[in-house]
Amino acid sequence: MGNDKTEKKFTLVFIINGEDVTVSVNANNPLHVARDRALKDSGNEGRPFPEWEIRREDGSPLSPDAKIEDVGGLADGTRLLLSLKAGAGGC
Amino acid sequence: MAPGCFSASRQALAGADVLVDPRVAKAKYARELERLRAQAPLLSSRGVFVVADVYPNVDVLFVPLRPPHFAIDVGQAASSLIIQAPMKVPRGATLRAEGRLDMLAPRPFIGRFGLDNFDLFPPSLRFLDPATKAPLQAQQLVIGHLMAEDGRTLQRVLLDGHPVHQRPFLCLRGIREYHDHPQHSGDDWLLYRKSMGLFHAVDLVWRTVVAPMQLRLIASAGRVDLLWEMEKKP
Repeated sequence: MGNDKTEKKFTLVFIINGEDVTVSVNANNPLHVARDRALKDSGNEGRPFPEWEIRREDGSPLSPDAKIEDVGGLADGTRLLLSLKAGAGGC
Repeated sequence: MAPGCFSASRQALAGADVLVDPRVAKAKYARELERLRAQAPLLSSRGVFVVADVYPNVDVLFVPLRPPHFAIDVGQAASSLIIQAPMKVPRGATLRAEGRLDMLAPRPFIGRFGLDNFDLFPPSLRFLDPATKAPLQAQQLVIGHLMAEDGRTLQRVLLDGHPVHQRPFLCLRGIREYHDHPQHSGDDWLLYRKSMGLFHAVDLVWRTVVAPMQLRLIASAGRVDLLWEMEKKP
């Protein structure tokens, strides 16, 4: 009696303030699960996790709610950037 | 103490030379520089290079890599105009030719990040000429923008005439000139300093001033228009 739903693990590398933080998550999870784990593992818990943006290396943003396996261009070991929202304007 | 209260105090202390023990400040400077250098492959692929590091400054060269696009009304173009680029003239009634000037790109600049009193203060940022190290004026810089969270509105973030520092500045959280601005005294750096640093500041400059801005030259009816457009990501 096997479970035909095989869990596909994904390793992602988040660059946080210039430091690489590697996390392994299930590909069925939304991206914010990987984000939150990377922030916890690196001790970056001073700001609410939703304030952190996920970006590709080319600077394009990724939705934290997208399933990892559904995000185009993500492969095992892909490097992504995590940064706090910039809060522009008002000057 | 409320963050805003501290911010007012920090502005009053902005002229002071040393507020953080130099040994601590230098250790944090070294840590930030090491983190930046660790990402050298990513940064160089973006045209971003650390070119000098003398405490408390880090000079980062930003080389825009995106060539400008042009569109020319062929009927109006002078016969002596030499366009050293492949042109595509659409078939049909239009007389407009379009192409890309691969031999050109916006001027490079140095971002001088100052980490004096880091991380009591955020990194400061000055825009310099790469050859002379002279300060660049706002009109010599690409007009940096940030896409708002709605994904449609562009916010201009590279502004001129900072009321305290009297120079062009990047109006973004994590940059000293933003937090020193009287209109941001309620958004204190100390709320963010554990989550932002030198790499974040360098990434901000690339993301808002260098990466997304596309120069478009449009020549028609005896005039040339230069437009800065933000690349639309899918």
